[in-house]
Amino acid sequence: MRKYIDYMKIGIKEHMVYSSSIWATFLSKIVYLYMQFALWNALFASNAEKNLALNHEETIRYIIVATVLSTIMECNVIGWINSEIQTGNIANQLIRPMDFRTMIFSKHFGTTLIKTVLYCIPLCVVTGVAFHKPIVCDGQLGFGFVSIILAFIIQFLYSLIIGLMAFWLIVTWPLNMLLAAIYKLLSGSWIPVAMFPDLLGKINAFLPFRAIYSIPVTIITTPMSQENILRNLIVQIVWIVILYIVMTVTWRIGKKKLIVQGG
Amino acid sequence: MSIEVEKLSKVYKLKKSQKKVAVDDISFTIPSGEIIGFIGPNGAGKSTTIKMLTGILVPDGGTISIDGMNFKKNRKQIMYKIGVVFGQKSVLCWDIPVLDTLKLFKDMYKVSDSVYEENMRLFRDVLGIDEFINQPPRLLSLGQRMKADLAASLIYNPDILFLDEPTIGIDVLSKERIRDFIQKINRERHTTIILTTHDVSDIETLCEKMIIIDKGSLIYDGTLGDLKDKYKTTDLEEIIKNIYRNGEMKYA
Amino acid sequence: MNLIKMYKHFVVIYMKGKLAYHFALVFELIANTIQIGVYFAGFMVIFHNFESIAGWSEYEVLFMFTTSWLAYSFSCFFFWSPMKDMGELIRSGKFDLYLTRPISPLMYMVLSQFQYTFIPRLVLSIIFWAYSMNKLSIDWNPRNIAFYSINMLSAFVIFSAITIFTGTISFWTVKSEEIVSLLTNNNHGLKNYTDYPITIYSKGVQFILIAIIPYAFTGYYPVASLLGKELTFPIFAFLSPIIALIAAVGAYLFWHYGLRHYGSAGS
Repeated sequence: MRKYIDYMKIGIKEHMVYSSSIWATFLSKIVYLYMQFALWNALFASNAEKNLALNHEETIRYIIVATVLSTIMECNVIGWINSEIQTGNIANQLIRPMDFRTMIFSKHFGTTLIKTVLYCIPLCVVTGVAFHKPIVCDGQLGFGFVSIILAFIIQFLYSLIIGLMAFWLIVTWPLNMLLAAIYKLLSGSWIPVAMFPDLLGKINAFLPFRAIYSIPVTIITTPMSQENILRNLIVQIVWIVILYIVMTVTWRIGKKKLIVQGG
Repeated sequence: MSIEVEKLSKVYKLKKSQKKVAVDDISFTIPSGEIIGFIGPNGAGKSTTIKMLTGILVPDGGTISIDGMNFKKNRKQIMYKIGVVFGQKSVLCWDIPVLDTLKLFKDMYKVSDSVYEENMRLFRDVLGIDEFINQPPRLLSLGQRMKADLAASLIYNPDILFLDEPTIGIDVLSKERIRDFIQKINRERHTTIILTTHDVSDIETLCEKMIIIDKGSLIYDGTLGDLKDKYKTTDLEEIIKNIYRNGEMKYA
Repeated sequence: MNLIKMYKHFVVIYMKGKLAYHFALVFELIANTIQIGVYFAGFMVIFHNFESIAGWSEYEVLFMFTTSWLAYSFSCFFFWSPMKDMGELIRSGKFDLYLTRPISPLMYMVLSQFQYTFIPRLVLSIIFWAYSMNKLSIDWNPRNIAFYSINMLSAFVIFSAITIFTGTISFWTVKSEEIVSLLTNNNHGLKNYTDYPITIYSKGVQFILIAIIPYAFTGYYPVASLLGKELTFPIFAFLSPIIALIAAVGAYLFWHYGLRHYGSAGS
C-alpha cells in the first residue's frame, strides 16, 4: 500500500518540477475564464428575452464552475504512457512489483491533489471575490462533490483506455488530438450541453463525455430536484462500470500485444 | 587559410554577479594546410574556443583573424570557407535522404556543377557514400552518418574544416576509413583541419601539431614530436594525462 | 533568385521526408481537420442559441475571424514551426549549427520546412470564409478589394512578427512555452479573444489587443470598417499597414538583439 502512496507523492513532485510556470498556468485559466465571461455576457445582452435552456445567470455560473473544474479534471495519463512507450521505459514500469494501472492512478491522484491546491482553490477564491453574485447552489454542493469524484474516475478510466491502446498502436497522439477536440465540445467544458441543438444533444446522451463536466457542473450551479440529481449520479455510475469493463479488456489485450520500441 | 588568434578571452556571466573565465588570453596561430589536434580536459574552454573560431560565440576580448578577415566585417565570406562537423549533432536534415542535403548545400554554398561532381566522385570512391546516399540520416549507422556529415561539410571545398569528436562511438573499421579520408583531403586540397577529440589514437594518426588547453589557458602549442621529447616518452596518452593531472593539482 | 531555388528544394525535400511516414501524415491532417471542425461546430452551437453579438450577426463574426485565420494560417506555414522549436534547438545546441551557415539562421529555419499541418485550418477557413461572405452583402468594388487585400497582407506580417517575437524569447529563457501559449494559443490564449468583436471586452483588454499585441488589427478593425460598423476611433480601420510595419521592425530588431545575446552568452 505504501508504494502507492509513494507514487502519489511522485505525482505531486513531478508536477512541481515539470510545471515550468505555475503562475502562467494559473494566469491562462483566468485569461480563458474572462473571455468566456465576456462572450456569454455579450451574447445575452445582445439578444433580449430568448427562452433558452439556461438563463444568463445560470450560464455564467456554469462557465465559471466549468473552468474552475478544468484545473483538476485534466488528465495527462495518455501523454505519459505514450512517452514511456516511445522511450522503451514502459518495460521498466511493467516489471515492477505493483499493478501498473493502480500505479498510474496513484500518480494521477497525487497530481490532481497538488493541482487542487495550486490552481483550483486559488481560482475559487479569485472568482468568489471577483464575482459578487452567488455561484453555487448551496444545497446541492454536497451532491456536487460526489459528482466531481465520480467524474474524476470517469475521466481517468477514459484516459487510461486511450493510453493503453498505445500498447499496440504505439503512437496515439493524433487520436488524442482528435478525441480531445470532440471531448472539449461534448463534455460541456466549453459550451453548456443544455444549449446543444436537439440532434447533437441526443447523440451526446450516449457518450461518456458529458458525465465528466456537464453533470457535476450542472449539479453545482443549476437548481434541480433531488430526483434529477440522483438520476444524473446514476448515469455517472453506469459509465464508470462500462468504462471499467472496457478498460479491463483493453488492459488484457494490450499486455499481450505490447511491442516495445528499441532505442 | 591561416587562423590567427590574439589574446582571445571569454567570460561567462553567471547568476549573482559571479563570473566564470572560460578562455583566458589565448594566442596561437594555425598555419594553412595543417592538421592540428585541439585537446583539453572537459570544461577546459576547448568548445568555447571552437565556438568562437566558428563564429557561434562572440569573444569578450582579443581578435580572431581568418585569412585576414574577421567575423565582424566579413562573416558571410568566412562562412563560405569553413566547414563544421559535430560528432554528436548532425548537420544533415534528419528525415530526408542524404543526397538531398548535399544538393541543398550545393545551392546554399553556390557550388559549381563541376566541383560538385568531382567531390561526389571522391565521396563515392573513398567514403563509399553510394551505399547510403539515398537514405535519411535517421536510418544510418553512426559510421555512415559521420561519413555523410563529412561529405556535406566538404561538398563546397571549405578551406578550413573543424571536426569535433568525429570518431566518437564509431567502429574501428569506419574509424580508419574516416581518418584516411581526412588525411587525403588535407594532402590533396591543403584543407586546414582542426580536430577536437578525446581519442588519443586519432591524434597520433592524424595530427602533426597539437594545442592543449586547460582551465582557459594555453598549455602547449607545438608538434607532437617536441611534446614527446619534452616529456621523454612516446606514450602520448600518458603525457596528456599528466598534463591534465597537473592542471587539477594547481587548483586543488 | 538563389533563395527561391533553395526554398523550392527545401520544401520538396521536406515533404518527401514527411511522406515517407505517409500514414502518420494523413492521420495528422485528419486530426487537425477534426479539431478545427469542432471549433466551427462549437461556434455554430453557440449561434444556434443566439442571433447576434454586440451588433454583429453570426455571419459577420464568422467572416471576421476567418479573415484573420486565413492570414494566420499562411503565416504559420513559414514561421510557426521554427519559433516553436527554438527552445529545443537552443537546449540541445543544434541552433549552433544554424549559425555556421552563410545564410541567416532565421532564413535557414524558415526555408527548411513547411508546416503543412496548417492546411486543414486554411481549407476550413476558406470554406467558412466563402460561406459567410456569401451571406453578407459586401460591395466588392476595387476600393474595398484593395483595402481588404492590404489588410490581409498586414495581418500576415503582424502574425509573423508576433510569432518571431515569441521564438526570440527562447534566447533568454528556455522554458517559455507557457507564457507563449498564453499569448498565442488558439483556444485558451489571448489570440482566441479576437475571434469575436473586441467591443465585448473591457477597455483594458481592448487596449492590450490594440496596442500591446495588436491582434485587433488582423481581423476586427478592417472587417468592421468594411461592414460599416461604427468604430470609436474610425482611423483605426486604416492603421493595419502601419502597425504591421512597426511590428515587423520590432520583431526584426528583437530577433537580432536575441542573436547578439546568444553570441555573447552562449546557452
